[in-house]
Amino acid sequence: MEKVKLEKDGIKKIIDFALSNFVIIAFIILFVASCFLSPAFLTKNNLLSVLIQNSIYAICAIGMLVIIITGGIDLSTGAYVCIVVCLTAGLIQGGHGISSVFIVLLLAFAIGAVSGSMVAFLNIAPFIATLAMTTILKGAAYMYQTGQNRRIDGTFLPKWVKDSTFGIPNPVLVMIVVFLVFLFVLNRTRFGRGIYAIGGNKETAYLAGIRVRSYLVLSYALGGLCFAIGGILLCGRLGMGTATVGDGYEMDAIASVVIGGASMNGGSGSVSKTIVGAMLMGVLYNIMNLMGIASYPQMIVKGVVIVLAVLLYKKK
Amino acid sequence: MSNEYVVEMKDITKKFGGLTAVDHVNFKVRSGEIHALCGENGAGKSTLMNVLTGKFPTNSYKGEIFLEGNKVKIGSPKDARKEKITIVHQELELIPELSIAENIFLGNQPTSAFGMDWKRMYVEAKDILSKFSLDMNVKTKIKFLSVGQQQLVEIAKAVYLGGNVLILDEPTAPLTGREINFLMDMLENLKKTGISIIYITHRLDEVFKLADRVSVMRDGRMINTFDLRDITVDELVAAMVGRKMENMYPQMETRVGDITLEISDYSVLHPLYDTNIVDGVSMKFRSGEIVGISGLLGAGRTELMQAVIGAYQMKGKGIIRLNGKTVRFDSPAVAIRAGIGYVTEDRKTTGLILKQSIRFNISMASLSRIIKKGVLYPRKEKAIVNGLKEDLQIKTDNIENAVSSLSGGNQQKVVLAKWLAINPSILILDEPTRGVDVGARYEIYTIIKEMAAKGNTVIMISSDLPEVIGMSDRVYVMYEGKVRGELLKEELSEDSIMRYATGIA
Repeated sequence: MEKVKLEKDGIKKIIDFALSNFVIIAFIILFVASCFLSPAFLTKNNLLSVLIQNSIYAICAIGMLVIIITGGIDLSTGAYVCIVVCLTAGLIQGGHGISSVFIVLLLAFAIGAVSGSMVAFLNIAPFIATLAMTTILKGAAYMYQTGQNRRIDGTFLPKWVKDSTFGIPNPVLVMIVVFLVFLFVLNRTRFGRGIYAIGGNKETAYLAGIRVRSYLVLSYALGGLCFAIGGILLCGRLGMGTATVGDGYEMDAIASVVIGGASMNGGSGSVSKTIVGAMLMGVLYNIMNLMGIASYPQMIVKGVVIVLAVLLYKKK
Repeated sequence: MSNEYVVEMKDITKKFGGLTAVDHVNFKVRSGEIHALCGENGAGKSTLMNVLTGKFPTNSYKGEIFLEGNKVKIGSPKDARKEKITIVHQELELIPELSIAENIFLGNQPTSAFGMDWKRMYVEAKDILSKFSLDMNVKTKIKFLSVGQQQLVEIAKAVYLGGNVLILDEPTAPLTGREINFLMDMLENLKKTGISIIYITHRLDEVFKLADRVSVMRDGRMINTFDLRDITVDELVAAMVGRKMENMYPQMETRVGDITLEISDYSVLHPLYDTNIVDGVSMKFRSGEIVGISGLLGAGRTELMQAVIGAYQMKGKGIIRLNGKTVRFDSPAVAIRAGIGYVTEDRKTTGLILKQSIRFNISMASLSRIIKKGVLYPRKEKAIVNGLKEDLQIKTDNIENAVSSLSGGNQQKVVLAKWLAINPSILILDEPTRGVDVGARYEIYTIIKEMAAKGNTVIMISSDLPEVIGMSDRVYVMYEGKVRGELLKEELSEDSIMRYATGIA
């Protein structure tokens, strides 16, 4: 009897482990399957392009993760990307050089702080506050962009984005740096502990001396910063400023975070699994492209994957 | 069969899982009387009334109910309405966005050939209110009325709906003095019309003023029913508390020292109404001392302590001195830095983060101890948390387990550990053993006593009278926001506390 119980416990532990690391296992299975499904998949060029393409999504997803951990959401990811692409190109055209990048980052951080203040101090629901921010940023981007030619080919940014350092493409390098920074911030700082506590139970967090409001503002600001990093990389890849980009980035970011196992109620989520979540979506797209599946069926598959992921985490 | 009794409940037993909330209770109400139902929190009063008003299906409780001598089955609110039994709950059930008239006639609006007959509705509503000498505009939306006025409207509505038996669950809890008097008059008048009233209350002064008879419940059992002409306050209090003290409080040598925390003339405004929820309270706390704060639900105890540490939604007015220096705590963070820990009364909503680990929960308030130059050291954290786990004997094989996997008693120990981790010199405990089994209680009491023995100040808010008496060196009793009495250890008894807590002494 005792032995049977032990075995059952063992099996339960394995299932628990599999469910909590589902995204990693799913990624490995998808990766291996893709190798068999298309001979073009496992080539250096293809894998590099998947990595480069998805580094921008992954960085946005990390920003989204920070906000979702607090129990919030930011719908303005795409709008950030849009205005950042326009502004970066405009500032570079204006001859501000490398400082354009820092100006844009600072600005995005400030915009995030405004969204965060609406949530923290004015008690506006995150969904509404960031929805408002979306149209504000979009409107500003169109106003800034209309009638302008913002090509920046040949300047430092497109060159750097296409370049590599130590054999690693620069966008991927940026993603790795962002990943490491947030891995540290979320696990080894007072702020990281604080936002998990806030998402878990705001009241308990406040009573335990955690600065709930400041941390909320900072979360949205850091989210804005991540979205801007993604936007600047996109600007470099495009080689120009345009207000037609960015649509749907928030949905991809949210999807990556959720596939990475975070709860939309807040209080949980991991940076590593979010990155894997983003890459899983990327590989899925890539293999469907290689197999010649059209883009509309791809969208359906994406939706099904999100639902499956959430259902599996619920089992836990 | 004579119909001396409108309501006769025979041998009623209601269990929730393993817990017997109402245990073979017999309860009789005479026609046209005001019958008070008394007992401590959790004595089973509300459950008994819920049986009578059809909250539970007939097969979920045992016993028989007779109305005017006829056996009836009550298993749904609809049954109760058919038998003309109505209850006015503590939480009012009016719709704030609708007018007084619409609320009175909700689901029962007068109609004409063209739909709603608004004119008739307003006239009739005015009629109903005037019967209670209530002079209100029936078109006023409920949300513009005070809670007291809302209560009166709700009672008027209940009587209009044809109540033969009217049950009021602590109706005066949210009312001011003048509104209470008005309500008393209103009930007296209702009684004259032949309606029977069951009046659940904690306030013994109201019982003696208003009721004809009183039934006392304790621990799910009916102790006795008394005619109020034949009973004294002392006898009633004794019936309510009369339980033998068990020797479950650890004894420890403590040395009472200097005053650490002093609150003078401290008031806190009610968040919704223009009254003070805490009213001119002064208290002193010394090192090495356990001070109990007793009183009934809603006496302002929790609000007082929360306002003092900056955790209440309203800011308090008055002077707080910590070790002789005037201080003000704008948020719990400031109070924590000053060495004050606060164990809240509800661990699930304000004490714990249930989805997080035991480790996460325990270190939450004392991050400063494990963060050096902005970097958190997990090894140091584990050492501190494991140490507390041993000290408090938290029963778990791994501090990484979710705190929700623990029993109530062990969850409470985690909350205590969280606050002990900040090394507090003042520890405030709000209902520290609510929902905790007897074994874990003793362990928690030992931890509290040890805190005091080390020369710290312990402040314990508790509704559990034996606990207050067994643990405290001194007790403040609050009533309606004020300190009604201060009792020294030798003066402590359930009787003496209950007198102050119910506003008699």
